[in-house]
Amino acid sequence: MPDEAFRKAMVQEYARRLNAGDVEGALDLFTDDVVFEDPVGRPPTVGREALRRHLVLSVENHVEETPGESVTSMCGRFVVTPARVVLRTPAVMSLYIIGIVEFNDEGLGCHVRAFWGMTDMTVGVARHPDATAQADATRQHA
Amino acid sequence: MNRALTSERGRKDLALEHCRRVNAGDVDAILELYADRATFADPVGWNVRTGRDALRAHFEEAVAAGLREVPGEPVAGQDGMHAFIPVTAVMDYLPRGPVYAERGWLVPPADPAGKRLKRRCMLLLQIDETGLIRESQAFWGKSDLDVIG
Repeated sequence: MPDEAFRKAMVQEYARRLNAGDVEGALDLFTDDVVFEDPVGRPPTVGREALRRHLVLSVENHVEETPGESVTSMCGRFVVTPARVVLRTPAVMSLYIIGIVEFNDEGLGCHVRAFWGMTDMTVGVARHPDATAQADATRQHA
Repeated sequence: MNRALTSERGRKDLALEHCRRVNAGDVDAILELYADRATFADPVGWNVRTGRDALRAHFEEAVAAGLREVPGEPVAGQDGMHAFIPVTAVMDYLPRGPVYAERGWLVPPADPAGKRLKRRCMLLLQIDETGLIRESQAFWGKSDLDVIG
């Protein structure tokens, strides 16, 4: 069973590999039969090959994922992380996501649920990450 | 169906309203947000409890311990059902602290007087078609829990 530190580190490592364009490295963090819901509410991506296509598309769109601080669960199975994701398609799409990764006993991600709604997406606005964090802080303390 | 409550913004507002009512300390008002047979897990992975009586006992204890929640920015699912919100919660160390220590979730302070528990969590709410919470899951682990002064 992967411990809490392992689960939190996995999310950071996933973002690092994806942002570097290392699709095979990112895929190695998941099971062959992974179910990847991105976003939750749309048909899931199922299996390594389908996830490869999904991630290749993200890399082609210059994905830039910035995970925040994760939390876990008491059962050894989950990590939950807020993240900012920017895609350039070339229009700039910015997403705010809260994602759950469920792990198997070997520490591989077997189910991902990325929650983001139409109200969590902006198109055509390229905000600097520092400005975004500042805006969040302002909102939280308002 | 109350579309205002089941829209993305309606679900986000419900998640924020939940925090507001917790901070107001009004347990009846908190319970009004839940369906009769609602289930909740706090934290996920420990146990799942069901129904109003269990919810009332849970929130009465928390409110008595001075629970204060600071919400972050919520997101909505595109499934028409979910809202997800980061919440940082602070409450008195007593009475929950010793229970958590017994479970091995924290190291008990030498002197618990005046100490508080700080917990970072992500609250996932499943909301039914009438705009009431059907399922609440608070994700947090040992590494998300601190004893503070």
